[in-house]
Amino acid sequence: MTPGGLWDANKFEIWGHWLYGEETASEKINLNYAGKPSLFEVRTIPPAGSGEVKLRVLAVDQAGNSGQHMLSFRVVP
Amino acid sequence: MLNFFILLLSFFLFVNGSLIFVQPSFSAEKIPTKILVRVVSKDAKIIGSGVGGAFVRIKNLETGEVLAQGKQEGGMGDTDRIMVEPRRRGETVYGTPDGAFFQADLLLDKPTQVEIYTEAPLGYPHAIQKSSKTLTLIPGKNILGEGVIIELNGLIVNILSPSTQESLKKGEGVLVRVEVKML
Repeated sequence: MTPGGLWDANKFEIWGHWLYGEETASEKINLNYAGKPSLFEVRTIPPAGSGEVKLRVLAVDQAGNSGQHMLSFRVVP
Repeated sequence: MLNFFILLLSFFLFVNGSLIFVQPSFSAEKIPTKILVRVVSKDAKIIGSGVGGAFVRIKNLETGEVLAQGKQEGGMGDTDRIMVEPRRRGETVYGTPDGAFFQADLLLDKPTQVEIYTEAPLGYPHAIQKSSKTLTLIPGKNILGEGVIIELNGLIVNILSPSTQESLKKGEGVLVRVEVKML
């Protein structure tokens, strides 16, 4: 998956959200191609407040494929 | 006239006799039957060992008996054949030497309606997708070559950083790095 490649990275929409529990706690965060095949990145600031926060990243292509991954993190003062 | 009726009667007797005595020739004998299953990814290639392979289960739909189960392992197939070149009917697309597959050797004594169930990619449990299809297997009639194709829709999304081992500092920026792959 690379820009302009067989699987064109430009044709994938990849974005994330921070969540508290099941509630979205941030705007949509778009991830960009990171310069290596299949890698995408963005610099973001976790939502204000301490405790457990989740990061959910979703991806979708134009062929009907989609996927997601969600991890929990601890935010400390 | 009599001859015509005799002829007609003979014809009906012959047809009825044929229907009574010519039955499908399946006996109690179990006949080896090979079936090859190939789990592929929508708009991509064969689901190979690189992403953990695919689980495949073949079940007798009438009795519920699991006839075979296992893992599809191997390579993702030939990129050009699968993704680039135009295809003609009957051409080999997936059935190249390095293409992953699951093959079962079944013993069947009659035509059997089966369900083939699959889930993949086993190496990424959070990205697993499932699918199944049904078909009738006939004793001795192998399904090899390209095999029975089952296509899964999905993407592998894998957050690489930050790591769940590290705490995030309130108000501080963090680099989110994600791997996105076809199944």
